[in-house]
Amino acid sequence: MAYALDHEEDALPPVPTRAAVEADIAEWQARVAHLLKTVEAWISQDGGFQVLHGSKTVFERRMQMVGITEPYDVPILSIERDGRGLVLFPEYRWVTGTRGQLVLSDGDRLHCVADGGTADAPDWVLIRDGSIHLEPFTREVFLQLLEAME
Amino acid sequence: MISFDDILQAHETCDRVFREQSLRAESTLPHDGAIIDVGLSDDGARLINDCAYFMMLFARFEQYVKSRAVDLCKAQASAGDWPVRRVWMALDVERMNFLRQVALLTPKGGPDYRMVEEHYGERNRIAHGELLDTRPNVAMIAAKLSGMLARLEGIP
Repeated sequence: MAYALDHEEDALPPVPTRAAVEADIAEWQARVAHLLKTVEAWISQDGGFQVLHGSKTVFERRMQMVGITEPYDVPILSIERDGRGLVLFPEYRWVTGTRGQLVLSDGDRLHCVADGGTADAPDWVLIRDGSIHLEPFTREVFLQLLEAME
Repeated sequence: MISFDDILQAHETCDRVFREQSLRAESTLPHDGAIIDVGLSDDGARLINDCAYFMMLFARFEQYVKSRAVDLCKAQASAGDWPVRRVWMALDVERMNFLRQVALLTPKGGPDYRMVEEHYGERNRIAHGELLDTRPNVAMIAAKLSGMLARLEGIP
């Protein structure tokens, strides 16, 4: 594949290998599971919330590129009270500018929770539905969203 | 320093339409205690929209980098000792390729340079008619580029 790049350091990025993509998926599954566990721990035990765990399957273009044909599983977290709820679920591992992102939905709005960190240090940020600004995805922010859904 | 807010606001206005389509298409809340499989539709139109706004964002970034590199070159060419000035005077920054301009402002090979280099490669793919194989998160990229520009503020 040729590109008309206008600089001499025009080496294309390395083509992903199947082994690297599979390793990325495994790491993403673990990272998502850790985030969901952290979020679950933020919820007050006596707040009357019902926590539900589920899973979904994801298939991404990057997997197609290396010959992977089966989707992968990722966990979902749902928090409910009085018929209202928030669902946090992974969207994609491969999103340019992030190391993966999830959706936080209350059924009316779709907020984005993205990892802007590094392999060694995840840095989860929230981009609220309707906002153009990033904010750290913290316990306080999450609890605000939880209260706002009521 | 430049702002990307107007581009981000325009992107947000358009992206809202795609999000609303997703919400209509899929119920994301569990019913009767059982979590259903949730997900957003992998909409090609949304990818095109994201790539278009990413391109606009990066174009503004490129323009700013170029102007900073030109200013730097002019300043260095008019101050200091002749052996140093003549090197700067010989540089044609206007015609210099973009990554060389970046390397005038931030250490080549450093984290900022590598981040810009990566996004420049993506920008080139779009500019030459391809779509990215992963959706760009426009707000995240804007934040990273803004962070780099903020670090350039201390450069003469």
